[in-house]
Amino acid sequence: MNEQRSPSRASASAAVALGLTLTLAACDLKVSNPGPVADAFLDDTAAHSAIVYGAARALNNALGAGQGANFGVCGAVVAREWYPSGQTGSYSCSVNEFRNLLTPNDASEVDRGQQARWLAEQAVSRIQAARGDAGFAAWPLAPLALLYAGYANRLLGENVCATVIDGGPLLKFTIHFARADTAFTRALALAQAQKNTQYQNAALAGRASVRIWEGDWTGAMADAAQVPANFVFSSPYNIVDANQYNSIMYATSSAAGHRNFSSFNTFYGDNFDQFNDPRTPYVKSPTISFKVGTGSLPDLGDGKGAVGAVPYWQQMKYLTPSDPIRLSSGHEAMLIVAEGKLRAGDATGALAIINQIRSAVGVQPRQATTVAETWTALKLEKLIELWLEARAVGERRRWNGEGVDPAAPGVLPANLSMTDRTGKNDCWPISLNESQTNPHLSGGQ
Amino acid sequence: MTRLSREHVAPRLMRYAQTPLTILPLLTRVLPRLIALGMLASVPAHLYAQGVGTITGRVVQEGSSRPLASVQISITGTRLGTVTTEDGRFRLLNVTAGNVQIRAVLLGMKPVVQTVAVPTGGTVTANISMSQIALDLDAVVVTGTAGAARQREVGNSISVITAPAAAVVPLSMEAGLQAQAPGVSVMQGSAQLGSAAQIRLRGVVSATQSNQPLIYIDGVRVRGEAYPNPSVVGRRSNNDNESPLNDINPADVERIEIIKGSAATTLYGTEAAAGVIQIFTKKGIDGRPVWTLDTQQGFSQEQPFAPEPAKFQYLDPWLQKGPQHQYNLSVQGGAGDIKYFLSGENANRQGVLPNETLDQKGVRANFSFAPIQSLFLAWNSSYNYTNTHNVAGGVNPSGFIYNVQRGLTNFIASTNPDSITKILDQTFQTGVDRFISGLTATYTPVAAWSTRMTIGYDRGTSVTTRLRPFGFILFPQGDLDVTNFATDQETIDLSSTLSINPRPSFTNSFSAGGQFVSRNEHSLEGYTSNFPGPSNPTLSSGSLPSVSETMLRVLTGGFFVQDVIGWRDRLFITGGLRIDGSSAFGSGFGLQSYPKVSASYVMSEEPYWKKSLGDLKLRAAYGSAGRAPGAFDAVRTWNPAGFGNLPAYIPQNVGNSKLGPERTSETELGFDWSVFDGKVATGFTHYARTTSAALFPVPQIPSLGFQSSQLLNVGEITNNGVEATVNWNVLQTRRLGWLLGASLATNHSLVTDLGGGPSVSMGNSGWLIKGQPVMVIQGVHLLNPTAIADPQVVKNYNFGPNAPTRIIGLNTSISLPGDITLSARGEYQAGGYESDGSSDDAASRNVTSWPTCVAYQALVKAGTQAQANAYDRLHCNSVFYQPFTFIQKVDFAKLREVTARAKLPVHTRNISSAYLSLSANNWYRWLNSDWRIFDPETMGSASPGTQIVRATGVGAIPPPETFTLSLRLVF
Repeated sequence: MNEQRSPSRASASAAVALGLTLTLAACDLKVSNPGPVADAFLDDTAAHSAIVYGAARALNNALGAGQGANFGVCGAVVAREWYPSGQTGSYSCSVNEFRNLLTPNDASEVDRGQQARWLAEQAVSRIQAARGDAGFAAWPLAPLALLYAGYANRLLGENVCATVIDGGPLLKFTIHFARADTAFTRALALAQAQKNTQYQNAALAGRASVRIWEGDWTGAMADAAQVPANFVFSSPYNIVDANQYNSIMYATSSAAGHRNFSSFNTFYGDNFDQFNDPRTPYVKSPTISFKVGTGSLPDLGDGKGAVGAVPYWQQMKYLTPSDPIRLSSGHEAMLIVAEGKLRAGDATGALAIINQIRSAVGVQPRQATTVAETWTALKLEKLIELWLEARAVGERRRWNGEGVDPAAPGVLPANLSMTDRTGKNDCWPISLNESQTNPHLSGGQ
Repeated sequence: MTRLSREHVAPRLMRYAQTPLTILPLLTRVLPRLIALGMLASVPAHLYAQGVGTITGRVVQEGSSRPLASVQISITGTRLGTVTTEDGRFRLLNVTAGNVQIRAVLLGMKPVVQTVAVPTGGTVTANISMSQIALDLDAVVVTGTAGAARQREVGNSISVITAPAAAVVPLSMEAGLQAQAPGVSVMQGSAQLGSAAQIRLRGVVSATQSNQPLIYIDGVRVRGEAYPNPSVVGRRSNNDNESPLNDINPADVERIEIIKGSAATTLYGTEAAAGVIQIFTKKGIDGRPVWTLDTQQGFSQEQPFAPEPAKFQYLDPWLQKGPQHQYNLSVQGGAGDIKYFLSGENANRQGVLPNETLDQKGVRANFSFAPIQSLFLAWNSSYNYTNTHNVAGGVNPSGFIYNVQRGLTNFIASTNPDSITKILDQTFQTGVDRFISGLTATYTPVAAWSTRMTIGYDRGTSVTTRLRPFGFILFPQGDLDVTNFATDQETIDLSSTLSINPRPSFTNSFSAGGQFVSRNEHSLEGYTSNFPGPSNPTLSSGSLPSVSETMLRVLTGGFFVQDVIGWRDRLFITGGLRIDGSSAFGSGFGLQSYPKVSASYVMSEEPYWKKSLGDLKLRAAYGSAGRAPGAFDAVRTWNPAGFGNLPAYIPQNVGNSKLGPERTSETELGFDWSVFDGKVATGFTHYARTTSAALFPVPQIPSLGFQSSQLLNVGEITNNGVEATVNWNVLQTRRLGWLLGASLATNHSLVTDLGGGPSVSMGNSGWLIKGQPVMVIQGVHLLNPTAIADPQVVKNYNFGPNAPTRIIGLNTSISLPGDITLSARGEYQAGGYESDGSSDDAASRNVTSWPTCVAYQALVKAGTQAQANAYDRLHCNSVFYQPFTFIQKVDFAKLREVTARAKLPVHTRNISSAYLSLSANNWYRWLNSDWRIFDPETMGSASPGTQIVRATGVGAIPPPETFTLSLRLVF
């Protein structure tokens, strides 16, 4: 074809080159993705409060938030604080946990607890390094960071059989009480210096609750005695998103897909029936015909076999997803003093404290004529006080002699017994994730 | 050509506008002329200055009068070209007068070159007869090559699917890909309308990154990943993800090229390891406008998917035949160097369950233009809108399917249909807007040098609305979730090829080029609950609002060089190198290099080759490609999650600054061979590939705070297998024809290195275990299934791979007198295992009405459960329940499509041809005996496009069978 192509070709070449140049020049090669926060940003002092509240959120997760396994929900299963309403695997509590078989594969709540501990301890060291010792001591949230470190350690110590710290070697679980003691002691000092009474009482109550594991009854009673009877220090929950709901409430709410646990067939239900005790309230829901579990969990470890349909008896201690869960209270502190007296041989003094609490909450006093009966009264009273607060597993381990002190006398009702189940577990082992990744535990080769 | 003036057209338009019933003539006559009028203004003047003429003709199959559609007709040495219409006709305008050579090319047919004398100002007729060949070495492909290349030059296997192979327009792009090529597995997600399919080319190439192949449309890279499904933890579970592939109208597709492994995809660099699917849409043709109207009317219905007496798992009161309607209208035409293809679609479908509807509307405009002979421009654009309503699926307490399946242990404690129907009173709606546009400029100043640049833009927005209104039976206070997801992708592709022939027997083509891809994603989700009363709520209506937002930008770019040396047009050696970077590797873009080398040898063209041995091409290829990690995987990050109304950081990603792409290297060896005078064509490929520096999720030490697994380049996985095809032209007479095709693909994968770490759970019972297939399915193995005894089990038993190890495809086409064609294609997949998450969920919740346990429960009721075998006791008695018990072998066969098509004896002035087709999809299904409930494509949200491990999902039912009556009219 004989066409005059040269001018056209030149023009086209120029146009292509120009187009290419303009196109490439228009490319924006900068990439800045918002959302996740780079680690370096956390060194900014303005970010420090968010680090502390992150530790608080992690503690909430381990204690009783969201839908992952946590000590609040699954611990209540293990300690028979409620009865499963038939759905296995509810709220990430495994079938094994329902059966009190706590294997490394059923220990993701331990990982949550470890994250809470690491975050709080890391928050303290990171912020202290950034602000300096004096700056940290004067910072208003410093005591709170230390309190979270203390409570996270206590949560782990009460619930795990053995532990590690920061990817280290295997340690006895009591290491957490020592670390908690240290954290509470530092928190107490800073709170006193800052004249923050709330944090001061929380540190005293927290330290008292871990010193009883260390066998330091003198120290524990001294701390507990300073805590006002009406004192409460709680972990707040909220309804901003479902991950921050109080999952103890949410798992038992009357909404469809919930109703996972019932006060049916529990000591706490019996206690409410007998005493109308406001500390273990529940409501039978005749309007909700939902009944589950026609034998879906035939062996809960209580030797009863299949229980048939479980009626839905809704716990009423937590009424909304934002209800807080207590970490320490004046009543718990009083019961520490009572146990200290009992251990010192003052059963009368112990019973008096127990009945002082019962009077305060409006239930009739307990009777006990022997030391053993007083122990039973004390145990029941403390379990009632700590109901659905992720504490029952630990208290019962301690009374069974797993701490420094020997096993305590005092028989518990049959539907509370945890000792008559051969082959069952009452604490969580090192998680499978930890043992597979921690080089000190033969993981992570 | 009739010249139209504005004055000429306007009165006609007015007249047609006043008579709605005559809209069709308006479209068929006037609109093309308007388009032509507009285009004529830009026709190069040189065409008028020279003596030109017109060539018309018809292409038929040799030995018969069967017209051949989509034949590429071109004038040798020029850019003039067109394709034949449905009735085989073509028309070439503005052909330089004199003797010219016209060339006719169609895949599967022997190319024809014919000399035609074109009279100045006149028209000459050139009818062409093409004979069938089984092996077409001169067919041109472009995917995986630096420029266009003939099959004889390509050292790797490439599958080409042409539109004529589909007698009717497929229901979706994904359905159209099923059982079409060896090594291509397309598994539908469920019965949910719009559900994305899982596409795998040669099995699983990555354990953690997407295994969906890259998708190109007319040279523009587009989104291939399923649209994300909004999921806020603690709310309701997902329905299936929507597929972006289904935004493409199958009626617009001319052909599809598929390259399956890194031996072929090297030039696409990072992210191409899972293969590339390139879709080519129809183009304009020379000559008068040709209109095609396709209408499809049909319905879908469920086949029984559970044992009696609950063969539809209690969904019977709600199951329905879902009507399907689809209308496609297109026009192809052109004037001179300007050609156009315009199309529109309107589809509406109803699903097999109430509230399942899909409305889809789309338009496409493809233009091509040669302003000067050396420059060719193609501008292809499409817009599509899809509005889908679904029933609530998934593990969802408010889910309709879930509540029906759970019987009395559902969330309303009732199996009363009237009560359950109230669960339908909620909204699950997704609206997807998709706009794709690409401009390709091909500049060929001299025959030896050609440069092509494509600028592409792909934007998709998905708005998902999930509403449980005030008073809803399972959540009376009501809630609303609205998620706006937007993705846009800008691409630039440049490729330049210089061809020189240093010696007469040698050719050399050197190519260089590059690509740049910018991908942006933005998701904004609002949620609110607790409405004050009945209303048509917005996000402002509830008392508990919350919001979440994510943004993402990833840049990927690279350059390549390639050189092809040819010897006597029968031996070709190709070497190439791609250098790539990605913003996912940090500010340095972490440049990676991917080499390739391949060879093809047309042995049958050697002088010593006996013609009776047929045509034989040997090929070998080696190449590598990659898969990049996510945008945030390399850096240590914290999640600004908040704590109530307070700011809070919690650990997110531990980070690894040395993170790079995983590299997949592949070697392919094979041949293409046709024998018996081209009546039988075979293809064989053996491939072996290794993904090194594989990205595995390495669990972190929990006591160190960061507990999410970190991607590390620590692993290695291998895949190998064979692909074989046989296409046999069994019978070809003037009146009868019979084609028979079969394919076999095998795939065996292995985890050869875990980087020293522990085995990794990938969810859905899939594991990465050293020495096992990639995603081996692990669970409880029953040792004594038929024994009348308690179950004896082995825990943590490795059953086998999740992906099938062999796929057999069969297709046939029979041509009968009267232009009647019967065709069918089906596939058989075997060797894989899946967990049945749905049955597991039911067993863990003691759903005694589960269809597979009805017989066992009858024994329990009669007190004779001691007669039950170990299988039933394990699966139906909660005493023995344990997770990961429901593992089953995925051996199945499906008849993907069977079609009867006939040409109608319609002879009117306007209609040049008419075809009526009746087709059925997924009509026949065979399942192995493990499969007692559902079928292998009941994945639901468990494993649609984005997931790694395929499983039976909760709250889903199998895809239905579909029957369609189609009428195609060509004007």
